[in-house]
Amino acid sequence: MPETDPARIVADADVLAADVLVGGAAREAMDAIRSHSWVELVASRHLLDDAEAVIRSLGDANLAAAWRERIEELRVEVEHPRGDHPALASAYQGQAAHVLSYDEDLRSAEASAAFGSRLNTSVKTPEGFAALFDPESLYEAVEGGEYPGPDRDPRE
Amino acid sequence: MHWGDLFERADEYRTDAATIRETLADRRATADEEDADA
Repeated sequence: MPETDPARIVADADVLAADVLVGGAAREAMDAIRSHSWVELVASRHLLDDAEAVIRSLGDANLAAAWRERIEELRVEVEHPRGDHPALASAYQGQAAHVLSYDEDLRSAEASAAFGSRLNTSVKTPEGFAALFDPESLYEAVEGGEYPGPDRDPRE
Repeated sequence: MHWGDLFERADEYRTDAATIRETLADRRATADEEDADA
């Protein structure tokens, strides 16, 4: 089974859009990524296209374009064929340990079928991720040494 | 634009997760139909 990286996270398009348009747990989860340079957001072009379309539809084109510019600076890009589920395929290609999604189907049957025994990735709600995110122990596991605290301003 | 400014701009469009899920599901369903037609 390929090793997953516990510091690599995929946020499905609903969570990426909710970060902007809802706040709450989605923003809290994304802030965990934005606050730590060693925590990586993995996303394909297809995944960002979905989120951008939702932000444009529920917000406006300028807001969606501004979001795309910022998220492009944050993400680690992966590629997968069009037609694959963008969040699951991004996690697989990027060997991410966590997928954040509001989609109940993704958290059960679809994810199990898609991953099978190929990848040790868990699908969580943003609430679940935010509650479990422990930067101290994660830093020790992936970087080694004492956790120095957040190294980025999540609002910059 | 900083994230903080972007969130301030987005305040006027504040919505809920269910609406976002519905909008995303519509978009993905449309994309699946287009793939099937191609």
